[in-house]
Amino acid sequence: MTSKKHNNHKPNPPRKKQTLLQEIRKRYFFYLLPIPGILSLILFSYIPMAGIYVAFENYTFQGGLFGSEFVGLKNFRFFFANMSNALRATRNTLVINIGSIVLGTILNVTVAIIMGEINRERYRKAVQTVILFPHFLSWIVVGALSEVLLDTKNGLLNQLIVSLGGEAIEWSYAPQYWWVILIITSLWKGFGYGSVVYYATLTGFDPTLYEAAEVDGASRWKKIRSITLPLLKPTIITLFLLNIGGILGGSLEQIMGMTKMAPALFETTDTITTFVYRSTISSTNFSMSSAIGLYQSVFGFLLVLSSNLLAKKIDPDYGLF
Amino acid sequence: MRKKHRKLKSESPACYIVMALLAIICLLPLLMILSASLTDEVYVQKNGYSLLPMHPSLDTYIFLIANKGEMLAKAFLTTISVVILGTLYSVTITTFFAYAISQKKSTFRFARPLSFFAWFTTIFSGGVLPWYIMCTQYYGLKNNLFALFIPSGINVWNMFILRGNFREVPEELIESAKLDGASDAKVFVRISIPLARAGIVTVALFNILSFWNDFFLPQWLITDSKYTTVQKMLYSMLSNVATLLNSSSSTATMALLEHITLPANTAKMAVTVLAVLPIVALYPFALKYFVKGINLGGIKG
Repeated sequence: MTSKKHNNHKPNPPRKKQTLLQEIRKRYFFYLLPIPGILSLILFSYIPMAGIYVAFENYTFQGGLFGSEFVGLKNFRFFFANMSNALRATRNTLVINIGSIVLGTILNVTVAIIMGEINRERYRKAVQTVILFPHFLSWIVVGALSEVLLDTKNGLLNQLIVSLGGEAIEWSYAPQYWWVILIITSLWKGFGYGSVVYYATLTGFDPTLYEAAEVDGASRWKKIRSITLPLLKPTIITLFLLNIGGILGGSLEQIMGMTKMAPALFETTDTITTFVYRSTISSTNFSMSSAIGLYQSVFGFLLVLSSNLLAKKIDPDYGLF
Repeated sequence: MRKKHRKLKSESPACYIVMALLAIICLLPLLMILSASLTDEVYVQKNGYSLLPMHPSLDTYIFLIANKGEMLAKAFLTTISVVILGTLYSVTITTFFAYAISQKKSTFRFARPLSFFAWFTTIFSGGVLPWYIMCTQYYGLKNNLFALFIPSGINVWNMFILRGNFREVPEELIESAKLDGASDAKVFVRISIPLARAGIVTVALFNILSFWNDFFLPQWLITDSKYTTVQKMLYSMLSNVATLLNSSSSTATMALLEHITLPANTAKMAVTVLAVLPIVALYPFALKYFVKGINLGGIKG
């Protein structure tokens, strides 16, 4: 700011551009301050990025990450030979993530709109306090919560099914239910948080718009459809994109907490993340996990870039970057 | 204006009912856990879990403290140490970084490039395998306390929240301090930090909660039971409670155990309650700063 003022001052001769060294000496504080953060990012984000190279080598502990034998695409041959596992993991990841994102967006927007319809501040605050709480619980705790419901013998859900004349379901041996279970628990944990973000946007809208609509005799539904939703659109699209970028990711904690990694459920619960985890922890042969890890990183990155490009095509303001 | 608008608006009771139902859906599982932990194990084994504690008893908690007290205390101690060290470490380096990149280009030439440097890590990652190899083989972050917080030193989203806070600090204050001869460091400590307090507290709370809840780092980087955290202990209890409860070394307790029913089901629930309690305690504070925090950070980087 100060230097700008000097530059704009006409009578002064134009100042010589400072060399970097002079600048560093003068404002050394700003050059020292970010160093620990930069180191942390380099050590835990950038070096692992370069470490993607592991997918092209025959990793050994002696050779290390950058000194093991280069084998080119050999790891991928192994990857394609075990394609069925990788495909299953991809399918599960996509189903669980797309389901959670699409249904989550609908649920979050709906809850935010309903919250906006509630005039009693106290009631709304109380409800908000309660529905936000699951966001702060760990997936392991949520796993324990689900056990009370889903335990085969003691669980409340089976008690209910039996009391209604049905037959108890062995949830932990019934993979066919787990897409739904995982999506529902994602929604349960996330809708409080998700809706707060939309609600915050919604409260910023101009109230005169609604007043005018009311004078014209618009119904509640009509107001939502022609005022609230169009105004929410940019936020919905931005958040949707943010989520689409992570569609190949997924939480190891969720699957571990909910399923305890039960092999009986892998058919529907083995995701790319858990697949990488299993093949890394259980063996010292990293060829499979390195190949699938590379595939996850690269496709994830391309997804972020292309979804952003798409959004910008719809409206330049919608993009994340 | 707003008041008038409120009066005009008619209310629908349906909205109130739907929100009440959603609140109940969020609360019920927690109530069930609490009930289960307070129910007599024999009752659970006979009748299953119930919504309310049917045969209320503190036996499970007493059993846990008497027989597994050491294991619990160790896990809690480890986790609390990680929360304290991790939060201090993370808040410090995040605040430093955020302050530097909140500067104008004329003050700090690399503010923009460093923002990009941090932001890029949120859209591209090398995946967990290279990260795991680096941590365990090169950085020595395996089976020690540091492995539980050093890798989570900087959270880029938290950093952007803080950057937003620092940008809100009025420029005139800083300039007048500079005119009085204050150094950059003094401005940071005396003016910027106190004025960005809300953001720093928000980030600290987020850190406390995420270190408390963390399962990722202990699961990847810890194999030694010496460094078991609360979440990891809970996970092993959930996946295999029998071994954990039986692995009692003292023969006296073993003899005692033969006569009573092991609280296999209720013990898991009791530990879950213990794992949730600190969050409940922090929740009012977290909530207070929460909305402020996410609004300042903005969705876009």
